[in-house]
Amino acid sequence: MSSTVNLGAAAVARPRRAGLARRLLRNPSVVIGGLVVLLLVAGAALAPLVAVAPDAVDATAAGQGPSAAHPFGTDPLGRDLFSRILHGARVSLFAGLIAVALSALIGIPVGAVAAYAQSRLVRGGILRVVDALQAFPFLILALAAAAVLGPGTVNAAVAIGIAFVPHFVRIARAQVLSQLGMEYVEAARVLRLPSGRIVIRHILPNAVSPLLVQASLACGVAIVTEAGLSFLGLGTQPPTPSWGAELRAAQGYLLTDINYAFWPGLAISLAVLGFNLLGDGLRDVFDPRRRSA
Amino acid sequence: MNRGRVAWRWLLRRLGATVLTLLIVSVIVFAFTQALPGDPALVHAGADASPERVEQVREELGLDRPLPVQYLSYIGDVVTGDFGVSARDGRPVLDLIAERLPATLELAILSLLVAVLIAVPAGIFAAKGSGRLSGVLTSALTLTGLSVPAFWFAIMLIYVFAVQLQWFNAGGYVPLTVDWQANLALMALPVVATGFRRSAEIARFVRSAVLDVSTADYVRVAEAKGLTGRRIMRRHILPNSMIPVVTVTGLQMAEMLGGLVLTETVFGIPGIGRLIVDSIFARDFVVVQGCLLTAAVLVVVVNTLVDLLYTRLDPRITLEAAGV
Repeated sequence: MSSTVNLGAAAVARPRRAGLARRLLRNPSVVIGGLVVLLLVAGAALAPLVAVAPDAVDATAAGQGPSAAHPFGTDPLGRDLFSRILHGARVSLFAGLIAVALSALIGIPVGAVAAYAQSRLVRGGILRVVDALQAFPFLILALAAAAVLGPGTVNAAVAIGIAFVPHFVRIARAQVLSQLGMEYVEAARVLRLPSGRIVIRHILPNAVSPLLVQASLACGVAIVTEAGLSFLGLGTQPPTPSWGAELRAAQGYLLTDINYAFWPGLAISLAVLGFNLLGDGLRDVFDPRRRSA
Repeated sequence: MNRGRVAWRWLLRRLGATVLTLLIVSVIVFAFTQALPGDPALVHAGADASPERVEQVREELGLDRPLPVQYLSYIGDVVTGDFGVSARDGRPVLDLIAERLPATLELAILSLLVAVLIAVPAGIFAAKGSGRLSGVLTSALTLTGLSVPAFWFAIMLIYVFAVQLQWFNAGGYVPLTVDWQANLALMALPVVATGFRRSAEIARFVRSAVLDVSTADYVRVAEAKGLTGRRIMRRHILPNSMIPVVTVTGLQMAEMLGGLVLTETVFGIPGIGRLIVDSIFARDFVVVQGCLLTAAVLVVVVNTLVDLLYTRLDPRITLEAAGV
């Protein structure tokens, strides 16, 4: 009996999944955003194969513009900017991934508890703390966390993740709340399933798509925030190549060399654009009623 | 219940929630200093101080007392305007903040103004413009605004307008009260850099608000009466669609205060953001603590004001709906 049911469910799920894939591929934001993100991942993964070492110094070509040997030119020390930007993508993606994973890992369970807990005190208490945390401007909260943790890529990513937790709590709470009135939740309650099981096995899988949208948008914000922290000197430390630290160094050469400041900023913009487009597109596909501008 | 009493009850509840949020904010700020690595007594006493001297400083600062007592004493001090003393130069933290706040507030207010000046026409154009061009242009504006980091945009503006064209000086700050012309000339680039970034989000809201209102019955009535499109836009659509825009503009304040840390760094503006970063590097955490509290209080106060303004602006928002 149960195998019949499962077979039936699989048969229904397959065309639905195929339909979703088609809708995703038809959405220009998803396609362009996805391609940009893919390009970024490929660039980061292949950096050691397609570019020279980021610290290799070509003293004869210091501070030069783009050329065949150095597609993005060189920095004032003679290091290849193309290589430094590609290697910087590793830092940015790593920071984005860690920050989003950490905030989702903390924020989603806490958000679910804030929606589902029996105790009004717990629900209200979580919301008040989230309110208070959101009173701190995002970058300032990340700065404070970075001050506690100390400089470094991992610490910056963790600091950004901590600063993102309230956002994920809110989204997860809203999603769980929106599912609570659904019949399948009522049915699970009637079956006297434990609360944790209802939330984890039944409610959260239905709330995955908005959380995915949030994760994509958050990744963009995390990348620009990591660049900001590194620009301030509190994130990734030289000589590790990172887009924010490159910009920090380039600011000192603005009078003579715009090339140095141009590429890291363009890289940040493209990465954020990719994740924003992907997030916006996913939102349009998952929730066609709320189309973005 | 008469309306006046309902209004008062709502106001009291709203203010009560604000006070509660501020209390939790103070606990978070206090927890921040506890989480910091290193010994604050050692920082105050100086690296060369003898262990006896460090213990003496610890006692003087009250750091040997239990945490709840330290917290209560901290709250007591803050409420009476004592934010502590900077470990760097021994000056009261509140004085340092008061010195830096005007530059940050000026930057914030002017940037919001520029953001609204870009966003409102862009949003209306996006909502009313026919054809694909307006849609593409607005999407391009909002996506660029949301993706290009303001601090890089600021650096590019410096290169074009200060280094190449030499229209503006980049870097430095003259207080508004000392020389308003020099002040505005120095503020132009930072304000445009921040305002452009902020305009993207507001433009999105203007567009959707105008689209929402455009399909309302009273707009259709106005059209049926034969009013011109321009008049309908000015008299009927704009005033009604500006309510959510006011809210979202107010709420931008929180995000913008964070972004200003970077703008102030790029342009060397001595604001609160710069003070936080400099104090983190100097390990002057009493100042960082004061700045964190000030930023959060500013945001909470602005959010509360936006909430109050919201119910005043739109008579349809009943106090009951607002949570009474």
